[in-house]
Amino acid sequence: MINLVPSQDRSKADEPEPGTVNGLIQARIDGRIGRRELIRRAAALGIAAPVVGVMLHATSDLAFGAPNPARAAAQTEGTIPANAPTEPTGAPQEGGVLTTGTIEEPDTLNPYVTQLVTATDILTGIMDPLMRYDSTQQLRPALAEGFEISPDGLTYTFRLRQGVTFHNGDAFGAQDVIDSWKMIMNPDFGAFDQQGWEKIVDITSPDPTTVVMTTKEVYAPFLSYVGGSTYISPVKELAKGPQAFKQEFGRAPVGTGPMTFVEWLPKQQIVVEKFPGYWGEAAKLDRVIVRILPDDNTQLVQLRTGEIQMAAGSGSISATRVDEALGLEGIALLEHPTLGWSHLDLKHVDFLRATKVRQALDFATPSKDIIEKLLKGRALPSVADQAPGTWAFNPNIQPRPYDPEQAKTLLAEVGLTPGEEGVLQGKVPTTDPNVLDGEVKPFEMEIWGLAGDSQTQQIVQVIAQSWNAIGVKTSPQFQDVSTIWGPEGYQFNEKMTACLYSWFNSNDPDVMFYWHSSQIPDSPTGTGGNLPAYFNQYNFQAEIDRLTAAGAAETDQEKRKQIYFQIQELLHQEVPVIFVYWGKAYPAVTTKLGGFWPSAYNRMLWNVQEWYLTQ
Amino acid sequence: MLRYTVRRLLGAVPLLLGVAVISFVIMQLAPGGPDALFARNGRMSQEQLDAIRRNMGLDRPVHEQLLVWLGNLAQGDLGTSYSQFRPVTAVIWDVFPNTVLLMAAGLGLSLVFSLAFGILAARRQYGFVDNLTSFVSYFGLAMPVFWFGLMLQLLFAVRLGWLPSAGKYAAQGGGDVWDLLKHLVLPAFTIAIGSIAAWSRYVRSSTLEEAGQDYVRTARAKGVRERQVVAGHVLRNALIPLVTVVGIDVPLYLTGAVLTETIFSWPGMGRLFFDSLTTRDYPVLMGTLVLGAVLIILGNLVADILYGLLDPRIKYG
Amino acid sequence: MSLNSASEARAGRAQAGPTVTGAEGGATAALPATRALLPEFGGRPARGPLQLALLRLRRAKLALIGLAVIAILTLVAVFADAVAPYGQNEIDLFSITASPSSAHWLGTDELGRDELSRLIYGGRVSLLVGVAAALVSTAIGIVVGAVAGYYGGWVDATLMRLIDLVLAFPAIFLLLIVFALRGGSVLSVILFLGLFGWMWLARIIRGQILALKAREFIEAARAVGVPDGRLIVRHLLPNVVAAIIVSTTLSIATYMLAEATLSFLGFGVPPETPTWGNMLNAARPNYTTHPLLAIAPGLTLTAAVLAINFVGDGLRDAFDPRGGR
Repeated sequence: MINLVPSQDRSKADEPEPGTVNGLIQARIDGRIGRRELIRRAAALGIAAPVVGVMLHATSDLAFGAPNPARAAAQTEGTIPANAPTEPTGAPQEGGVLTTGTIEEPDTLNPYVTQLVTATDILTGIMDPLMRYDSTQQLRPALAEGFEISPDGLTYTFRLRQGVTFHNGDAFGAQDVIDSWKMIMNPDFGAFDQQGWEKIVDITSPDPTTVVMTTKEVYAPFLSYVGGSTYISPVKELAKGPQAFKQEFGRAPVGTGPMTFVEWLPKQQIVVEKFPGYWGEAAKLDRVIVRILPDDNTQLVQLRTGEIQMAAGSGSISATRVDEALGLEGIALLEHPTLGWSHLDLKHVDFLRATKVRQALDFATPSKDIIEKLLKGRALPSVADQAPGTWAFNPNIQPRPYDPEQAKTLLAEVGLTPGEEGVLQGKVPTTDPNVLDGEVKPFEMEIWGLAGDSQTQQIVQVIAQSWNAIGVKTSPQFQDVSTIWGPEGYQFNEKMTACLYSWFNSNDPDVMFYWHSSQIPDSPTGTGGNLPAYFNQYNFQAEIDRLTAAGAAETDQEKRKQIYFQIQELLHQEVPVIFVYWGKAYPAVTTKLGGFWPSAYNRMLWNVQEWYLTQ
Repeated sequence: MLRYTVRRLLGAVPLLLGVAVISFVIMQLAPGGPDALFARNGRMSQEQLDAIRRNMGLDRPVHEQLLVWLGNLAQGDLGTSYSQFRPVTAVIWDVFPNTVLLMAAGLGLSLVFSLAFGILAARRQYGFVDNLTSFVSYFGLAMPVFWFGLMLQLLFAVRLGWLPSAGKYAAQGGGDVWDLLKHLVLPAFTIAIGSIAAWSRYVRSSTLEEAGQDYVRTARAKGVRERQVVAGHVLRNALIPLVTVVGIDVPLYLTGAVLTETIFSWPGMGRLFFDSLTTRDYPVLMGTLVLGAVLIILGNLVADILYGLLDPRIKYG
Repeated sequence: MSLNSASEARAGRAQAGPTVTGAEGGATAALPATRALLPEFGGRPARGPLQLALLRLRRAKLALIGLAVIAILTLVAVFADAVAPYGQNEIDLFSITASPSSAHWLGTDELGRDELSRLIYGGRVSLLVGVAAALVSTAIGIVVGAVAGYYGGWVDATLMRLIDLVLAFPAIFLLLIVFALRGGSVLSVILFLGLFGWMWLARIIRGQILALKAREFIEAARAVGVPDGRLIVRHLLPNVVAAIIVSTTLSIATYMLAEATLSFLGFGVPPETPTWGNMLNAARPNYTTHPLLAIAPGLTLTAAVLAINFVGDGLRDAFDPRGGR
C-alpha cells in the first residue's frame, strides 16, 4: 500500500515491493528517486507507457514543479506571494469567528450537481474526498490513507481511514464510497461531472476499510479526479433517492470535514462551525461565516468597514480592483497564479482564415497596455496555452508588440484595401485560406464578451478601438453566458467574430481539447473545445492534430516538453486565437489570520482546520 | 360592495391566466431553450442530458409543457428551480418576507413623511415648508432611485460610517431588532423617496382642497381649534386619495425592490430575481414574474375597494 | 411606465385636461375612475385672482427655465461632435480615472475616456431614447385609445383587457428578462420601453373619445357619412391633443429614467455606447474613490428630468382651462 505521507518511521511491512509499479510510486513520493528515474526504471521493468502516465499522475509529477523564480519576480507591488501559510505576528487566540464575503451565492451545496466554484469553496471544508491537493499541488491523504495500483494500471485499491465519523454521527466506511459512485453515475440524478467515475466498471469492498475500483481503460488522471476531488457522502443521505438527495443535501450537506454545516440564510450568509469529532486535528476557529454579497462594490465597502474580514476563493479581489483593497487597513492581499488564460477566440471564417490577417490582429491588440494599465500589471503576458512557471511553458517566445503599422502592412500584403469610411475590404479566401480570391467583403467584426463582467467589457472595448483604428470595423457585443455558449452563440453564425474568455488548464499540459480536430463540435449542441474551427478547420489543422496527439501519448517528459514547446511556437506563429494574458488571483484577508494558504489547486476552505486568529 | 369584490376577484382570474401564459412564452425566447446551459456542458453524457430533459419535462411538446405549467400553477406548484434543485415556492418563500418587510418599511416612511410634508405645506402655502416640499417632491421624482441609493450609501455608510453598508443583519454580534433597523434605514429611504415625493403633493393639494370646503369653514367659524380641524376633518379626507395610490404603487415598489436590494444587498425577491437572471433559473424567473403580477393585481383591487369604502360618494354597481 | 420612480408618472401626470370620470362599472372602469379624481383635488381653491396670476407666473417661470435647460441639452447633444473636447469612445489607457484637470474638466473614466465628452454624447443617446420611446408609446396609445373609444363594444372590451394584462406585469421584471435573454440595443430599448408604456395614454384617449362621441358635431359628421378613419383623425383626435402633448412630454422624462435604470443594472443599451445610465453603471466600481464619475451623470440626468417635468407641468397649466392650483 502506498503511503502518501513521506515518512521515515513507516513499518517496513507496509512498504510496497521495490521494483513494482507501487514501489516506484512510493519511492518517488518519499523523494528517493526523481521523476526521470521513475520513468527510466518503469521502462526497464517493461511497464506500459499508459501505466507510466498513471504513475506520474499519482506522484503529481505532471503538475507544477517547485515555485519558480520567474513567478516570484512577477510579483506585483503591495501583494504577498501565497507561497506558504500566513503567519501573523500576534499570539494565536483560542477559537474565534471569521467572516468572509463572496460575490456569488452557491446554487446548491450538493457537491455532485453544483456548477459554481463558490459552492466548492465552502464544501471543501465540510466534506472530504479520498485524497486532496495541497497548495503545492501534491496529493495528500484524506479519507483514504493510501492506495495501490495494479500492474496493468486498471485496478485501484484504496485503504480507507478508520475511526472517521460523519457530522450526523454515522461511521464512515467503504459503502459510503460505493454509494456515492452509484449516485454520481445515476442518470436520473444528473451529476454535473462524472469525470473519472465513468471509467469505473466495477467497485467492491472486500472489507469495510478497503475499496477496489476497476476501470475499463488505463486513465492517467483517474486518481486526480476520483481520488483528489470528489467528496464522499454518507449512505443514509444517499439512500433518500436521487431527487430527495439532490434537493435536501444541497441545502444541508453532511460530511466528514473539519467544519459542520450550521445554516444557510438565502442571499445573506452560510455558516459553518467547528466539528469536534473531526478525524484530524480539530479546527482552531469556532465558526466561519460566508456573507453573500451582490457584487464586488459591496464587497470592497464591507472590507473597508470591517463587516467582512476576508475575500477569498471565487470571491477574491479582481485584478482591476486590487489597488482599492491595498489601501485597506488590517487587510493583506495575497497573490497566486492561476491556470486561466484569457484569449480572443478568432472564428475561422473569411479573412480570419488567413494567417497574416490573424497575425495583423495580434499586432493590433495592445495586450501589454491592457496588462499594465487596465489590469495594473496584475496579470502575466501570454503567448500560448501553457502557464508561465509550469514545466511545459516555452520561455523563448516573445509576444508580438503592439504595432498598428505592422498590422496595416500585413493586411495590405494579403490584399485588403481601404474602402468606404476607411473600412478595409477585400476578397474572401475560397480554397486556399491564405489566398484571397472570392467575393468582396468589408472587414467587419464583432467581439463578444460576457455581459456584466466589467473587466471583460473594458478589455473588449479597448481592443475594439484598436482594431477600428487599423480599418477593421469592430463592434463589441455583450451577451450572457447561455447566449454565448448556447446554440445561438457566436461560434455558430458565419460572421467574422472574436470572443474574449478564459480557458482553465488542468494540471496536465494536454491541450487536445482546445485545438484537435476531434474536438470540433459536430452541431451547435455538440461537445468539444475547438469552437473557432466549427466552419473551417484551421489552416494548420493537420500539424496541430499531429502535435497535440503526440504530446498526449508521450510519456518521456523531456520529449513531451519539446512537443509542447513546438505547439506553443506553432500557436504563436499561426495565432488561432489571440493570447491576451494569464490571470492571477488576489485573495484579501485580515492580517490577523494565520494558516491561510490559498492556491489554484484547491478551494477556499481546504485547510480551514489550520486557520487561526491572533489577538 | 361584496358583489363588486367578488366580481373583481373573478375578473382577476383570466388576467392571471394571461400573465401565466405570457410568462411561459417569454421563457421560450431563451436562446436554445431552457436546457441550453446543461447541453453545452461537454462533460455530461448524452444519457444524462436525456434524463435531465425527461425529468424537467422538456422532452414534451411545448404546448404540453404549457398545460403542465398552468396545471401545476393552479395547484400552487411553481416547478423546481434549475439551479437549486428545490421547489420554486420554497426558493421564493425564503426571501419574500424580506421584500415585504422592506416594502412595508418604505411604505411607512412614505406615509409619515408625505403626510407631514403635505399638511405642513398646505398650512402655510408658499411658506418655507411649502417650498421645501415642492423642492423635495420635484427632486424626488426626477432623481434615479438607484442613484439616490448610491449617494446615501456613499455618504452614510462609506464616508461617515454611521450605518451598515449592506445586508439585513451584521454577520456577527447582531441579529436583534436594533441591528435590523440599522440595516433597514437606508434601503427603506431609497425605496420610499419616489412615493414621498409624489404623495406629499397629493396630500398638499387635497388638504388645500378640503381646507377650502364649506364644512371646514363652518367648523372654523364655530371656533373649533385649528388642530382639531386638521385632524378631524382635513386629514381624514386627505387620506382617501392616498390610500388608493398606495395600492396602485405596487409596481413602483417592485421596481424599487430590484434596485434597492441590489445596491444594499437586501436578501429579497428583487435580488433573487436578479440572481436568477444570471444563473438562467427560468422556473424561478417565471415564479417571480407571476408573483409580481399577483401583487400588482391585488394592489389595484385593494385600492379600488378601499376607495369605495372610504369615500361615500363612490358607489359600485 | 412603472419603471419610473414615482406614481405621479402614471397616476397623476398622465391626467391632463378633462378626464374620464364615468365609472361605467366593471373591473376596468373602476381604475381610471379612482385615478382620475386624484389630480383634481387641488382644483378650485379659494384664491383671489391676483394670487392665481402670481402662481401661474411662477409656474410659467419654472416651465421656461425647464425649456431653456432642455434647449441647451438638446443643442449640446445635437452638436456633440463640435462641443465635446474628445470622442465618445476615445480610450486612453495612460490616463485611467484621472482627476479633473484642464485637459479633462470632469476627469476620465475607468478606460481613460473623457468624462465630459461621455456626458455630452451620453445626453444624445439618453435624449434620443427618451423622445423616441415616448413617440412609440404615444403612437400605440393613440391608436389603441381611439379605436377602443370609437368602436366600443367587443373591440373596446378586448383592448381594455389587453391593457389590464400589460399593466398587471411588473414591467421591470419583464424588461430585464427580455434584455437578458435577447441582448439590448438602442433600438430595442426604445421599442420595448414604448411597448410597455402606452397603456395610460390609451385609457385617457379612450375616455375622452367616449365622451366626445356623444357630442352633436360628431353625430352630425356621422350622419353625413364621413368615414370612420377620417372622423377619428379630423374630428376626434384634435380634441384630445392637449392630453397627448402633456402626456408625451412627461413620458420623455420617464423613459430617460427607465433607460438609465436598465443600463445601470447592466441590461439595455450596450455598455460601450455612452448613456447617462451606462456611465453610472461604469462608475459604480470606482464610486467610493472617484465619486465625481457617479455624481456628474446622476446630476445631469436629474436636471434633465426635472426640466422636462417643469415643461410638462407648464403645458398642463397652459392647456387646463380651469387654471392653476
